[in-house]
Amino acid sequence: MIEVKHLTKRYGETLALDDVSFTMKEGRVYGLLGPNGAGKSTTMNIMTGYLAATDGTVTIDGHDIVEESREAKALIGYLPEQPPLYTDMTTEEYLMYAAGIKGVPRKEREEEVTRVAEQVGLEPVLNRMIRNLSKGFRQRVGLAQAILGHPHVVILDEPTVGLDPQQVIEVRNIIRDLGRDHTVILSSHILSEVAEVCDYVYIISHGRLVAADRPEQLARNLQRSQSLEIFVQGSRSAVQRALGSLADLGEITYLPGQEAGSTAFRLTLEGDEDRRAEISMALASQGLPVLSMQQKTLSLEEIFLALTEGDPKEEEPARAEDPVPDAGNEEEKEEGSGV
Amino acid sequence: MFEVFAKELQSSVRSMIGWVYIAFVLFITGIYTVVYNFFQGLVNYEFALASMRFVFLILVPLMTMNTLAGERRARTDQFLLTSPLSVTEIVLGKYLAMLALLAIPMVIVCIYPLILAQFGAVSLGTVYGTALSIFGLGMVLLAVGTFISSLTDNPVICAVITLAIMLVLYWLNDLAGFLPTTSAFSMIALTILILAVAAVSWRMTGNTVVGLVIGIVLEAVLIVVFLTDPSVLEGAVTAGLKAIAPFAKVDSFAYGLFDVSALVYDLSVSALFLFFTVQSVEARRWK
Repeated sequence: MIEVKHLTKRYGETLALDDVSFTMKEGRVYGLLGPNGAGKSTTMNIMTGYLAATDGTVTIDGHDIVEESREAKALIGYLPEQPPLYTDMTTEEYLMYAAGIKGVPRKEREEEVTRVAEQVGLEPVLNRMIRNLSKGFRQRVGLAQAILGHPHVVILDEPTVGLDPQQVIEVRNIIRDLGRDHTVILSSHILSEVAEVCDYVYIISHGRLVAADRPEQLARNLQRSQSLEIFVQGSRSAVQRALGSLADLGEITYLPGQEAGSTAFRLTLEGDEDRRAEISMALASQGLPVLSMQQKTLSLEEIFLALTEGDPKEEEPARAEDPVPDAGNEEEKEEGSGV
Repeated sequence: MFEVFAKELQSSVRSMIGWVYIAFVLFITGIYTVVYNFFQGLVNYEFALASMRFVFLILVPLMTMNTLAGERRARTDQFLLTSPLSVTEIVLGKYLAMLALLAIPMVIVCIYPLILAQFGAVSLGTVYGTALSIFGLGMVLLAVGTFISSLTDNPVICAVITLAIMLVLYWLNDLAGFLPTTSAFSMIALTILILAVAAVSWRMTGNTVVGLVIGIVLEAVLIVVFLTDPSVLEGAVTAGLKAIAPFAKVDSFAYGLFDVSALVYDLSVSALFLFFTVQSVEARRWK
């Protein structure tokens, strides 16, 4: 159980985190999502005790990360953005050292290192110098280090960055496995990754928590409308006639047609009711064969953009600076329309 | 703490660097041994030892440049600082590993006087006293170097600054002799020192009042002393600098005096700089 309360971090004048609070429960995978520079790494660095917060507290299983740092840190395994590896050691030496630092009893170290190496697939490189390892293996050594000694909480900062697709899949599988008996927190700016691996998503933007929910729930909340892209054989007027009989269809936008004698259009439907069959039948009854029909739901990318864009305008300092560029834009537009 | 100590010692011994350091100390000491004891036929092995102390000018910057600055550069400090270890344990582990590395050539050098004693009357007490003071000097300088290493994440900058400070410390005793000894000069120098102390305490506590109070109280004491008996301040700066010059502490041992106060100085100054190091590492988290 992790409790983060009113976390605020200032770097000089810059406000990196602004009153972030959340709670994380055991045995789940949490995703910290946000664009670069949103404050994900800062949050993680504070949660692991690497940085101190300007304000606010972090407690891990009831231990404050500042007041009872030894107890709290013993519960955390951390893989920072750049794996903290001693390149002049072999994988095994490094893991043995890390096990020692994390307080794994001397007798159990070897067994623990073997177990972890097996879990993340490090056996082939145990006796190789870390400096000679590929990026993928280095990332895994960092991951192995983080899960040594069964920490309750595993914190991973962008664990799949820089890996090839095969490695990304492997690391994701490892994370999913970890999620069974650890609380896993990972940060990412890749949405599909978070949607795939995480049970719960926190979206951070400009140092603030802007949304927190299950990935599918996030989509539903923002899903005020759905749209259908339909491609039929027949003229526009025929389409209009066919659809005229249906109620509450919303807006029809015609898209540039690809073939002569066919029409492509987008229907924006209110609500989340599925009306594809009804529409298809209506078109068919007028002798308009449907060549393709695609349902467009709001993707996570769009949710993400919707949540993280425009946010700075809500912030006081940004608002003060905004009018200048905005005014410039308007002038340009006016000039454009005049010509 | 032991884990850090063992790892640091292991990696320096394995990566050749440790061997190069050991060989360097033995080489320089060996030259003086050959010149003083073989060619000139002196029985005073303490002279050879006292002469080799300049190895620290080169050794300390090289040894300490990677201690903390290197960890920061490689981002491995994130591993150490998020582990259950306290900063004190990390710093002490690293510091003791450097001391152990320094102890290796010192122990080897300590065999030489036993061999020389077969051919003449070597004063073993003086020799081993001098060896001990050399080691004490190493303790102080490595602690200072470790502190400098905690201030930057650039090992090269760290090495250059450490070298500059080592040079100043090396010549401090002589340089102090060139300074004016008037009470007015002491007054100015001590005022600058008080300003620096006040500024540091203001920065460290983040409290303007604390800095001001410390500065004002110290300056008031200084002014009172200056007004009542200015002769107290005459030569005070020179005497003060000579008292803290670490390299000069070896001299009294080489002349056959077992100077306990110098050893107390070594231990307390080392402890002070290690304390500063821990504070400086802790302070960076809050930035």
